[in-house]
Amino acid sequence: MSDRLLVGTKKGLFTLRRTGGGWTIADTRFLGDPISMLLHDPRDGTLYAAEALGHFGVKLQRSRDAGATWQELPAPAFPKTGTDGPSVSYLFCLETGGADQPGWIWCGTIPGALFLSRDHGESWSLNQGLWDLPQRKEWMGGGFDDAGVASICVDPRRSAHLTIGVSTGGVWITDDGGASWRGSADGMHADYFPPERASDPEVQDIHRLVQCSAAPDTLWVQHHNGVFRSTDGARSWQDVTAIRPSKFGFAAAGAVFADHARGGFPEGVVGAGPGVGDGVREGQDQCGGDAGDE
Amino acid sequence: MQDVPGNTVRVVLDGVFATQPRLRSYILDDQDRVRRHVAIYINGDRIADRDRLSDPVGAADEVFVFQALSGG
Repeated sequence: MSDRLLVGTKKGLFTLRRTGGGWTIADTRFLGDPISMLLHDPRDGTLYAAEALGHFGVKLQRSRDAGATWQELPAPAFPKTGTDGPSVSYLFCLETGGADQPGWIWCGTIPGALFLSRDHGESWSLNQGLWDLPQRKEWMGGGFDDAGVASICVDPRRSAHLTIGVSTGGVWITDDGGASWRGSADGMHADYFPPERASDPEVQDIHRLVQCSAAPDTLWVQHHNGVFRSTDGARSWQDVTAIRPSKFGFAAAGAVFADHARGGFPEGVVGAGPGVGDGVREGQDQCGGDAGDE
Repeated sequence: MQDVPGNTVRVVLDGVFATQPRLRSYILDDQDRVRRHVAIYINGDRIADRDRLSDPVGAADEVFVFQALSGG
């Protein structure tokens, strides 16, 4: 059982420690700075904190001593292409590379792009294959002005296989480490869209995508329209409807847990994503359950 | 305050960034434009060119960098 909890908020980063019967704030960092994402790298213990400073842009902080000291690193940035070129406005998600890729960190941003660092965040490169997708022009903001890469799942069986979720822009898969991408939102639907477009892959608003570590062909999506599940490696998606109290949300799952004992919906551990809601429950690390059968 | 040579805002700021590299991304965005909520003045005049920072700067001029304030 963990005794430490890092909480990123719009007002800074707080470290909570378990004390007796409760939790107390043991440390406060970046007071007043909005923290858009946190990442703990289980491979080497490094902590990463992404900031979204209102005036001064996105920043990336790293701690290699469990949060005692932090170092500002260069944040992911677009290549310089001219005064009409893009600029990162938000660091939306951070994920570690595979177990065989020490020091690799993926970052999803707004505007919708994917960046990779191979050196513990010291430098970043744009994933050009995703950025150059013609379909990217169809992506749009879902709560923010521009589309964003909201989730990144690195397949535990093969690190070159990534599945990402875009808000709003659907689910995209690469088999070659990001050189080429294909959309994979079959079965999803956005009922709030004009009917002719409701099933288009590019209009699917992925709030959160998670992949089961024990059964990686099972993935879950918290979508603006509800919850979808895939059991075939994201090739197809099925609507999960019988969810209480609501199928709507901004799921905060850092890992997938399907609670077989209660036959429940997959619940998450605490995350630091935008719009993290409440209702965190505990569960078992199993993913094959027939969710929604409560 | 820092004295740096330069005849445009771009050159002046580059002179400052040369000694404080981390400052660049606080003032300018990925494409080296002035960040949206940052304002730059030459003496009492706000610069006109926020993209290329081409406004001329004289030898005795002062360049001010502000963060914008929002709210009433």
